[in-house]
Amino acid sequence: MINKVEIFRNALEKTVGEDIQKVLWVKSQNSEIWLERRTSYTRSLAVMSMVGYILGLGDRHPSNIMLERQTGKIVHIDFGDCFEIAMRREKFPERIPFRLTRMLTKAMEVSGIEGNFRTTCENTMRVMRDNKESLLAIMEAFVYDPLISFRLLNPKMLQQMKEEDDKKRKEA
Amino acid sequence: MAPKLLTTENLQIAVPGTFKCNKVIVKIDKFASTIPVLSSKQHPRRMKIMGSDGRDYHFLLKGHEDIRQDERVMQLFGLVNTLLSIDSQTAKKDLSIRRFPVIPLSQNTGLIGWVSNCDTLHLLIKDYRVEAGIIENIEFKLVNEMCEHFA
Repeated sequence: MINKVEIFRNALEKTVGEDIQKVLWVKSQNSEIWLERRTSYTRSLAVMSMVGYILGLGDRHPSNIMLERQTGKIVHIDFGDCFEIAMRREKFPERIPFRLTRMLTKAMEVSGIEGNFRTTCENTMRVMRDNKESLLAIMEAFVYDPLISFRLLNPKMLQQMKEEDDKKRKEA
Repeated sequence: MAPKLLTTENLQIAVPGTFKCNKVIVKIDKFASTIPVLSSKQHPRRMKIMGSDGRDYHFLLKGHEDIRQDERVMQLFGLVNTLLSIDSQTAKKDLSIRRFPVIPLSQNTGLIGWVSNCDTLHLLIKDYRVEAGIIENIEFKLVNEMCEHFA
């Protein structure tokens, strides 16, 4: 009996996952521009990884992540899944704090995540921690918005609340 | 397109997402007469508004989705950008997160500013693979060869 990890590893072994790395290289006019784009790719990926983690951002499939043509900056779209909703969904819950696949890592400098990526992550995290009061103030506004907090509850709880609501209405 | 919208011109309202305090207001000149429907899941529409500054402003008109959360996320990014531009360690590097206008119109409709000069990773990988002669969904095929119901 083969397990899922073995099947996954087999697929990894037979492919290189250098697509984004190649795209960055092919679409740069010269090596100087390529170097710049690679740096700004790595840094912007790091910043969004950290901010996305704090936000509990999920659903980061390749159609929700974009690359800015000139600068090589990473741009995220579609923020429907926040506060770790994707981590708690019933079908295929996400287990990761942020997306850092082989394809993304290979597009960084030779040292991979040990370099610009790590430094930027650490700096971004420190800045956010230093200013946690301001960040929490904004995050709190999310939570107190009733229509948004409903999405955080699971369907069972929603049903339960609905039934209680109906009961109250009948009594009134 | 709604005939009423077609005939409205030279509005006093600013183009969504462009208003800045103490700056010249870019007003809505008129709306483009055609609105293409996009093929993605919710079939959003690509809308064009001509501004009083002579520029075209593109928007994504979304339905069946509450985008107020996206609006809040943009506010959060705004704060993070400010914090990153103040800190001495991070200010030297351009670490700002790219933001775009998000304008909720109702509980399930809204406008999203078109993110120009960007391609999704999906499209970039797809185009690269076509060019390089790599099977588009090679990883998926390899997994399916060993096990049909992997997921």
